[in-house]
Amino acid sequence: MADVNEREKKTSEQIKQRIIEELDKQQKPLSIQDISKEIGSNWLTIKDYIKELQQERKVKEIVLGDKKVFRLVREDTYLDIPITRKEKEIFYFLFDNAKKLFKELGRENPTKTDINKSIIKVIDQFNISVPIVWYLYGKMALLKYEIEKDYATSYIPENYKEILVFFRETINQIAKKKNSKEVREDQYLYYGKTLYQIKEEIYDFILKKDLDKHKEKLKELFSNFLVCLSSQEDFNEINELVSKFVMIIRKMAYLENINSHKKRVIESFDAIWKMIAMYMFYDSLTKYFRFKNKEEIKSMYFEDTLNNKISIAQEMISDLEIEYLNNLFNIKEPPKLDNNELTSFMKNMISEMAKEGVKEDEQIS
Amino acid sequence: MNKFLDTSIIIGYAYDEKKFIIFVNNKKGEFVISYYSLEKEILSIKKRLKLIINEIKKQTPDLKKLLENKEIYKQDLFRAEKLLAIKEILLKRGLDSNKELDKIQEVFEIRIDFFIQKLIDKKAVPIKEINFELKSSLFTYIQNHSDANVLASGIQYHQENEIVLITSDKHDWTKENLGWALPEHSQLRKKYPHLPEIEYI
Repeated sequence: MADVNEREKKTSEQIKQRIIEELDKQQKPLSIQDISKEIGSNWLTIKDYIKELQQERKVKEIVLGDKKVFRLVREDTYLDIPITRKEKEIFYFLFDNAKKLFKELGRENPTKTDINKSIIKVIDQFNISVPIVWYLYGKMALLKYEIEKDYATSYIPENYKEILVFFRETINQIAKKKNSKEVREDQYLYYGKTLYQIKEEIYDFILKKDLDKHKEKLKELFSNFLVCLSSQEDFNEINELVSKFVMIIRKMAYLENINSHKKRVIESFDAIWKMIAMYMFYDSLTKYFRFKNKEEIKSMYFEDTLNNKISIAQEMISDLEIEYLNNLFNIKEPPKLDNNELTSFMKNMISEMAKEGVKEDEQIS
Repeated sequence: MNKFLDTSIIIGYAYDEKKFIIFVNNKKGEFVISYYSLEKEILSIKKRLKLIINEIKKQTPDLKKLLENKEIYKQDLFRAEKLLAIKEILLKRGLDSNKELDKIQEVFEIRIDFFIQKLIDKKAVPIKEINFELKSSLFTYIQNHSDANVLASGIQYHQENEIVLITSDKHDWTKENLGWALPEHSQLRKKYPHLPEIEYI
């Protein structure tokens, strides 16, 4: 704890800087009490400075149960998730070398995808201990890569020569790809991520194909997408939303002129993918030991963002459903069931189910 | 006269049963449906059907797992077992029933949506407004909560807007049951003096 006299001499900027340093050092959100104890300033002073730091958007408040804690707004990592100084140095080393190696091949400005996919291969090959996560376009570094930023670092890993040989090979392969799409598809294939592969196929299909001429394929793609979704318990809300969305698409395939709904379909799918990808991010991050407390990590970094993505997806699905229902007014007769053994069994089954009504424990008293 | 429909009419129309189609094609007057049918019964059947079909479609269905879902009834397990047996028979004949199951589910849901959107003229009696005393009294004689709720909705609606109750359930939806649930001179009958007629399909 700091000396009281020393504390009195601190300017407000110095105290704010100390708060930021402490939050960075601790790698986790802290309460006002924790901070005041660590930097030796009284509770009220810290409270005032925290308020200022919040207004300056340098610190964010989180409510954990009945406790208010504060975390640093980092901006250099996704969702402000903390990484250690060592991890940052490793990422800098990888980003810097990836940039240089692409430059050697005449690629002055490699894309974020090129850089990320190349360093991920290196990280996995050498089991380098840095956090990497699954998100919108596949596996990526938790530290954001900024094209303009200088990543020069004095850090050099012991096996850097070996790393650079593999890095060069990897980048040579990536540089041969036609575009970022090919690079990321290559990654999905490498890690066997079928969901990501189908996602890519769906975007291509909706954008390029005449949906009215390929209704069966449309249904098949979305059904496969649903089948590939994880069925973990904490994924239920998302699974149900996707299931509802896919059912609307399947039903829309019976109506005329789906092409006129293309924009709405793609917007809804986009919202759904963003929601799923955010969950993938959370799920892959919590596989790391220091992020393993799922509930805490969710409250500290994901709650707002994930809920926001879910709300947007709900809204988009609801709009799509309205379009589908409105379209029903344009048809004279709904489609009919086929006449076969299976249908006949199902008719009886549904008829029996209808007679049973709603379960007693769901009754409203 | 306007018709207050039992859930079975919509469900029957959705699975393409001839008598319900004829009734709908000869529609006279307005079709009224209770919120209970819409928000509880139809939703529940759609969910149960979806869960059963989704499990059956899997490469290695685990039917017992179905029971973990609160929507599923015990008797649904037997239905799922029978459906799985049919699937296996069809498979031996070289027929893939998964696509057919998908189609059944899709057509069933579209037909329900079509009915609600295009054929229903009025949705009546929000679930919260169903009179608990009336529903309980009906349940004493009908022994089915859903029927009691829909019938209570119909009776309540009939006090202000004359309707005929339409059902395929000749066993529970009877004039006698209504009479027993709302006996002459009872407080309940004073509150709901008009009992609707019932027509069967």
